Amino acid sequence: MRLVKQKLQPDWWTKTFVGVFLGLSFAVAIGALVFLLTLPYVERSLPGQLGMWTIPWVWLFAFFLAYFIPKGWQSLVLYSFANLVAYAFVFWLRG
Amino acid sequence: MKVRADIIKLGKNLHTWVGISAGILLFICFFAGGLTMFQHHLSQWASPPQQKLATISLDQYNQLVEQVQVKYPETQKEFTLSFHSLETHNAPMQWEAAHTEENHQHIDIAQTITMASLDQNNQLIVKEQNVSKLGWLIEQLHETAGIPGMIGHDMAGVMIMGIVAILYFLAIMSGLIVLLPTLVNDYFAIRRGKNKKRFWLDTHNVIGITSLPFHIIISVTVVVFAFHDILYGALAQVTQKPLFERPAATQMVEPISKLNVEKIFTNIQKVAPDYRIDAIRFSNLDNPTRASAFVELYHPDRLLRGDNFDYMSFNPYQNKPYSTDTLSTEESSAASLIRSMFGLHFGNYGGDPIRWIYVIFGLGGAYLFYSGNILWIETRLRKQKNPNLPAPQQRKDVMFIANLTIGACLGCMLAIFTSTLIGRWGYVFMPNLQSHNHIFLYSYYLIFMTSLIYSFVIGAARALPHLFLTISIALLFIPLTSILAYLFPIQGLWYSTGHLLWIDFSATIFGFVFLRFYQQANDRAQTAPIGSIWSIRKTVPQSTA
Repeated sequence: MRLVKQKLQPDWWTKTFVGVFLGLSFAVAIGALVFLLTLPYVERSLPGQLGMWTIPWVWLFAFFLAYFIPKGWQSLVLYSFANLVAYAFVFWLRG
Repeated sequence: MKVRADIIKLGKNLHTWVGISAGILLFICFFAGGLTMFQHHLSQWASPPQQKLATISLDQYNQLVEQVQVKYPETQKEFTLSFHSLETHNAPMQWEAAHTEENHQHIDIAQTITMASLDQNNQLIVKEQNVSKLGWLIEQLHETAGIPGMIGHDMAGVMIMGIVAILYFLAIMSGLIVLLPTLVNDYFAIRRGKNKKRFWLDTHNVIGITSLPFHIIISVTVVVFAFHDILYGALAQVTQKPLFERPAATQMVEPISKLNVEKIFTNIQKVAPDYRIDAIRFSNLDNPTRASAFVELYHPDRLLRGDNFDYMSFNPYQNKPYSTDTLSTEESSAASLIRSMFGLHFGNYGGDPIRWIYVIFGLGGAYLFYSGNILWIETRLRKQKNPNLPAPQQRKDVMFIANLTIGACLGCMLAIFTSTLIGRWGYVFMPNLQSHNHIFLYSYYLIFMTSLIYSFVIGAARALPHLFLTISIALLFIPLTSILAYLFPIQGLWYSTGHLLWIDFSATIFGFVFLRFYQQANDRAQTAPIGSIWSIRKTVPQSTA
């Protein structure tokens, strides 16, 4: 893993931007997946709550991790890709 | 554990920046949060005897409601009945005066309620009072850090604290990274000695690591409490599906029977026998299909959904058994997961012992942020290495943070204790005041701002012992007030009784603890080297030969 061995560069602005916006949009997508996947199986009042509670748990960890990706542009690419995959699943499931 | 130096460096930078940005606001929220664990006890403690009406037995409630509804037509729509509630402890029945217009753009500080009970001859007693809500005001401080204003329907302080909670989460996790390499060796090592920074760092670490899961839960839940509407909105947009379904209106069988409180109480007991019924809030009673009863229940050993209560909700006119879906006794594991988020934030799952542990967590958290700021300051202090040279000039930003930390953190504690005291004496000096809750509120801000200004004017080194001493005096005046009221019949003053005596007792203990802090701060101010930010000794002018 070449990425893991690279020296960390601060790139505060880029990483903060990635953590705040792409981290949040990724977390919303994961929350939506939790909502859509649990919808058929639990009481109707719960999927919305489960999805909503998922968002901060994913977002805050994703935000924090963004700082530990070696370079700012790499975090941008990685999080954009993660968003792409997550939203592809959401749109596929939601139909 | 070995961690790469560049990771440590980045973690340290992140920890420093987010910590210093969020520390003081978090201190206020955690200190107030610790106190809110017993917020209803604090409100009771601050309520004069005239704000308490006699309790009645269960079989008198129907009679009370009937009499009140005849005389006060607004209660034909909504009112609250209290059975064992700590919050609505003032009277068996209470309601808000009829409004002409709903206004959700501000918080009602006065908390005017009308309350009713029956006397020994079953005659109606009704009083309108601005009930003392000391605990509730401390809860507002806990939620907003004292930042006033509204953003739409939400309190501005809550939204700001939602953002601060994100910084707080980053601070926790980056702090963990920084500590990892020395975690095993340093965990329980608290080294006191000449190097004060070592002591602050050791205690900061041990408290931070010991309460790590608590802090993670608090930061995540605060983000939800602040932004849940926005998050629900985003989720609804992305899924393009309704997140919740509106429950079907209750089908009523004609003719609709009269509201029977005793029967409702018995029906609740049947479906939730393990719970204590604290209060029932009735609303829309004039429209039976939309009428609702919100029941607050308590169980000391269960995770509760509210801060001090679990709840049930149903139509009070319905004849079918009440649903217990909202109680933890019958819920699914998914529902338990969501409930645990609330319960773990509120610390409501083990009765008073867990509440006391949460008080310690709250005060420990406050110490964590205070010590974090002190560490930031200590790290940047310029020390005098050569005694023959003039004392070093400290950096202005370090002086600023020192003054701010001492003024705001100690000022917050002083303001809470003093306003509590002033609030109690307010009934002596201003017995006819419209709202005593405004005294609590305004005296808090006045003392907080005064402490802050005082710290900047005379400097952190002088302000630190002064503020500690003032806090100690304010705390010791709390039991003294009770003693004075007990010994001398002063009009308007009352003394604590029964289980509320522990508040006076705790104030006494903490009064002496702060007196000790004062002595230590005073000693340090006298012995700290000249030029140090903590020294009050003046620089001796260098003699010229």
